[in-house]
Amino acid sequence: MLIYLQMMDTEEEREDFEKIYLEYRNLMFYVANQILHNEHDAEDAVHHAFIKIAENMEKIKEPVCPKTKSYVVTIVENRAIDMVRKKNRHAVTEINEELMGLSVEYHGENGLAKCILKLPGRYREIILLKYVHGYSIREIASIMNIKEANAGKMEQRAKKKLRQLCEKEGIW
Amino acid sequence: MTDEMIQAAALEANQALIAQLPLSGECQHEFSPGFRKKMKKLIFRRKHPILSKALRTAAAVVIVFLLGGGLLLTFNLEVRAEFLSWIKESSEGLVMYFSTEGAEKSSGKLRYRLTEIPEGYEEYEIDSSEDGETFVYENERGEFLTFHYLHDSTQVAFGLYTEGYQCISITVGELEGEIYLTDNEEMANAVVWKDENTLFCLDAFLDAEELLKLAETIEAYE
Repeated sequence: MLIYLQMMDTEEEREDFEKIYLEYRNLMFYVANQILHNEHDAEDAVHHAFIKIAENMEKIKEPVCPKTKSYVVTIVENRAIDMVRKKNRHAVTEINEELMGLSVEYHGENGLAKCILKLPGRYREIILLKYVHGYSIREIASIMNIKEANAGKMEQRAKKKLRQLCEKEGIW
Repeated sequence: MTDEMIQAAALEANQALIAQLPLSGECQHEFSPGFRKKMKKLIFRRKHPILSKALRTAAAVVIVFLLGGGLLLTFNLEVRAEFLSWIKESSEGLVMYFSTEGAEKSSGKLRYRLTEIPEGYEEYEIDSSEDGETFVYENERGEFLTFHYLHDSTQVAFGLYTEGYQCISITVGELEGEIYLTDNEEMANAVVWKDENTLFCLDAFLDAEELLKLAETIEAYE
């Protein structure tokens, strides 16, 4: 089939994705390998993360900045956890949404922030994508490859888990 | 626990996450050739959305770019050959034809059309511009037949995604060209040829003989 259309992105926009790739691919591999402990799988996770990043570039204002760094790490962590879930689908122990992502130490005084960092990986990701990166539930569903309704439920479970952690920590 | 509280805490948590991550230079990894190849394709498709769209249609093999600032500079050229007044360049499974001449010639304004349409195909879309026209036909199996022509213009390039294709030199009437054939039943074959001022392409789920026969039915009508 023959297609005929104008280039849609500006030169700058076209280059942003490549800048993100060059800057963060090693870090993303590191994150994925921390979760998957398998280089081949980690590369696969990085590749799929970049596909998702490519599909959701519109909210990235600066290709190389702390916010983008956090975003790409969140995306690749999500993909890696998803791969672990799928690999363990037939395991004796049911693997659910409560798989942990990257372990992050926090020495600040915000108890709620501390609890967010203690959330299981997917719950933390949905909180960060919504409240830090400004994605809607529909957009998060697209990024996570899940249905919008499931993303909504996951957000509810994430908040419930967050409340439980806060209670356990004596914050409330 | 309000949304505002969660947002403030999420920003704080995010700062902690960023602070703990190693710098990119601290976690070097030698990526496998397979990964690099996949990423090269992904980056290319990102740079050229038309290619991405073309690939998603499965049948697509031919692409036209309106050049926007340095497109060709992104190619790591491996082959460069004269194709009459058009230059042909090949790289990474993509063949591109682009003209080195302007489109001011009056003869470049001729219009062309297929005088025969294979049985079972119906008009799907026609797209016209100063640089040429695209005629798309579709059969009941959802297969596309596309005829495209481009006048000489430095603003337009013409690309074929040729991975998995065999390229053979042919003639359409007395005009030189090339036919791109694949064994992949999900991809169309294509023939490209050129007269004095215009590049033609016919792209369809037809075999080489049918494709060349159809190419010879094209006539100027204006």
